[in-house]
Amino acid sequence: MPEPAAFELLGAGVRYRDGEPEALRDVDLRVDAGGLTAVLGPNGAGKTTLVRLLTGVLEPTRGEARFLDRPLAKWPRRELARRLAVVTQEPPPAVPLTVREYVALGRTPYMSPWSAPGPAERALVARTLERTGLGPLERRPVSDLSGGERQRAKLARALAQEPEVLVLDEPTAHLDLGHALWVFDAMRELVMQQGITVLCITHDMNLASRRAERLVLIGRGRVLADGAPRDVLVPPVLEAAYGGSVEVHDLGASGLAVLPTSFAGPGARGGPAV
Amino acid sequence: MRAVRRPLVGGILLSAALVAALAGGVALGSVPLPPGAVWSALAGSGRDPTALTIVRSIRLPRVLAGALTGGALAMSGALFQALLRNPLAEPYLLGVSSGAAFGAVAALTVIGPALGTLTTGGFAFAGGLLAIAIVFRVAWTVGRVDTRVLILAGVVVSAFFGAGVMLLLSLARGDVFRSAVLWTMGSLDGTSWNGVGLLGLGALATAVAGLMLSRHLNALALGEEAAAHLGTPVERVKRIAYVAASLAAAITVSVAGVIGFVGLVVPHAVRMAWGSDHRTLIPLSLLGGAVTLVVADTVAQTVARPLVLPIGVVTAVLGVPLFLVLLRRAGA
Amino acid sequence: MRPHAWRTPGIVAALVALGAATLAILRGPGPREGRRPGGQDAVGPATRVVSLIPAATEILFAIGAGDRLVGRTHWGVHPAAARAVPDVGDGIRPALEAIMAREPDLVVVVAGSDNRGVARRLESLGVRTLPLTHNTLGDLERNILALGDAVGCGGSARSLVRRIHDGLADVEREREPPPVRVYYDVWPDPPMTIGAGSYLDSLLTLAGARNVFGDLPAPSPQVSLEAIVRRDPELVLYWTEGGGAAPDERPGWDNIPAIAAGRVARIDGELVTRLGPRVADAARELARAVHRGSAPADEPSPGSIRPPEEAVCVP
Repeated sequence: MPEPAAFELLGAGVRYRDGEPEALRDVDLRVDAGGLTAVLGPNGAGKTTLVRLLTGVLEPTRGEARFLDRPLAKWPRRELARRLAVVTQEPPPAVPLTVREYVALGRTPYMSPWSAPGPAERALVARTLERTGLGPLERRPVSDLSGGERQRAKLARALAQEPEVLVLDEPTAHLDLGHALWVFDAMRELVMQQGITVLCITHDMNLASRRAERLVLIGRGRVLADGAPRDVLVPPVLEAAYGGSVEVHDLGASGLAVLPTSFAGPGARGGPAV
Repeated sequence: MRAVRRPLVGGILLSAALVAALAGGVALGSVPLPPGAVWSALAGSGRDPTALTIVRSIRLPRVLAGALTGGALAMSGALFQALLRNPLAEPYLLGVSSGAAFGAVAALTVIGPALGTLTTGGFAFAGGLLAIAIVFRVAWTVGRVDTRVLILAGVVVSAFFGAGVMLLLSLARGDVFRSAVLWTMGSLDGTSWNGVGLLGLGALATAVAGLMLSRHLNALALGEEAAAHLGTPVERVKRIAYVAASLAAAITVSVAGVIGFVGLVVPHAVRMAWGSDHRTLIPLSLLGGAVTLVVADTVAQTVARPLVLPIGVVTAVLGVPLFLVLLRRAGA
Repeated sequence: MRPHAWRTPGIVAALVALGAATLAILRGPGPREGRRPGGQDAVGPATRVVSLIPAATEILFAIGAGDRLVGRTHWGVHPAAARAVPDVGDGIRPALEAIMAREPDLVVVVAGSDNRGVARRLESLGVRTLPLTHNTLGDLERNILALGDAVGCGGSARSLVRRIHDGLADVEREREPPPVRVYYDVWPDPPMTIGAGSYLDSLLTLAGARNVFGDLPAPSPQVSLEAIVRRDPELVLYWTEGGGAAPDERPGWDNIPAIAAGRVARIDGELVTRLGPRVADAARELARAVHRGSAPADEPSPGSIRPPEEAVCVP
């Protein structure tokens, strides 16, 4: 029996308010289990809406959104959280938490009101901290961490959920080169070593082209391109999506470098597809 | 870096402190009684009927009411702070105290004299519920509670009922005026066993709700969206927790008047000492609030014999400097 | 997420039920706890009385029952002999323990005050309470008689009432029409005076004056300087025992013609502000101020009631 697709969107559309144009239109998307998929597109193109659909935060106003072959609306929240972990931009926690407490919150979907975490749980949290290199920081308050360290902690928390599927929304925003590379390498490793399906939204085309096997380009609420990086990151496609003109350099194993050479604002003729 | 002591040790400490405070509250009051008389009154072997009455029928329900009130207020404060992700949240934020004060003052100044004596407590409870109902009606849209609107609505409704209280007071006669103002300042003196029972129910319900929801309250510290992704049924949790916390506040106000400060500060102090995990924060807040209020009530009864000070005054006057000391030490 | 309606009817019903339960619980007196000697089962005159109303304290002394008092309020102590009676705290929010420690068989309370502490609790502890409303001359008469019956001094109570009637009748006889239009100053800022609901309004009428704010029903209404000017009283009565400046020394008050012309009279506040056994003396004091506009004399005028220390209980 074929493995269930991680995500499936069938003719999905999302309209936030009556009278407004749809934020997402006629999206057919199938993400199979395993593999790293990167989602790109101009600001306001609908990427965040797409992630909200995929993670069950929004219901499609048209069409269907499925996770592991079941409509998202039918997934009980707790069960969903045990299979799907989401890493997004977040405000800092409202109470002071140590890194270990922060990561341990990832075990929430497994907790019950009448059980305290036992040694097995604590060992799992400890292992997760080790794997993400946070061991030495485990007693530090989260508010003391640098941006890169905090991103690692968020990832660790997601991993503590023991998910089959991981969705990340711009995980490398605000990160320096080293940390950005670390994030993509970590995602790649999760796919290869643990068979986790990873989907991430990113603006980082170079790293996406190096590590992801599939790129999905969203523009004007639709899927504009979907395929291997070298098929998607080509000037005609990119120029149609972003407007202006670009240069694309193939650097072999180092992926693709995309350089914008001129830019037309959104709404201008030839401007980005928003 | 904070030093976090084990919560279990904290629980034992606070329980011992509570027992001591209860003993102190029964032994001391606005009438000095020798310890022997107190002890034999409790054991039932006393021959002095006055001491028996004072200890068993007046002091015992009063200190128990104090413990339950303090515990309920502290837990309510902890819940509000978790729900609103704001350290300044406290049980009266949504207008409970103003609404209850309005109900009580209306009963004393307008309704009572018109209809004969009526229970101030019942009207206070109704007033508190009315305030909460208005606030929720405003903030509840399309199946979710908007936190910002909730806070604003709470502030505005509080102000409205507060103005109502002042209007009623300005038209009231001298002794009625005094009675109404004293009511709002809080008093446990004369609480009946029925009142104790009601408080017990309220505290129990709040404790159960808080403990059952503790893992979700922990997750809410990350924000509502992140908590949802961790499997928390956010809107359901908010509904249950807001109702439990508001009811606890309304019950305490209707039995004991407005007692501020406990609901805000006790959860903070507990958090500073033993961390923010609600599985320990809720029970330790219950104990901490109970100790605080019993001690405050004992002070209120003895410091100006035979006058009894309003408890709200004592909690503020004693609590504020203590808390400032704690804050300084935590910041150092 | 599907928006679903808040289960309003269910929640409202639950809250109403809870509210009703609270009302029921907080309403009734609790089960009778403890038996007190001379509690509700006892009939007959009270011998150990705690008075939570200062006027009642004074009345008890005036009918010769002062020796039966075992507890009094902290405030408003009169006559001097009452100071020897033990203090049980505030009258409106008394200390229950302090009252019970006096082992009373009767507690005089203010009717209609907050029920949470006093009357209900005392009754549930088996102590007889006598709630009194004490605001008008009619109340005074009723309460003197009620107190007299409660302590078994009905005879002296009735004679006290007679003497008060006679004293008031004397004052009324001596008044000269037309009535002097008077402003009675209670408090300067904000200006407060007396209205028809106050016994002082009745006393002023007996004394041959007319309260310019007598059309207001409240006992102590708050008015404005403007309103006083507009009503143009002929005479301003004031008392200084509460502190504060005399009306002719207050800025802006000389806009009132009577004050500018010096038609102000000081009255003995300690005497007049009590609705008690000396109310006839209070009426006489008002009459003096109204007709002669002079300062109070030092000795008690003839015809005042016998000083309380000499009162004797007559059943």
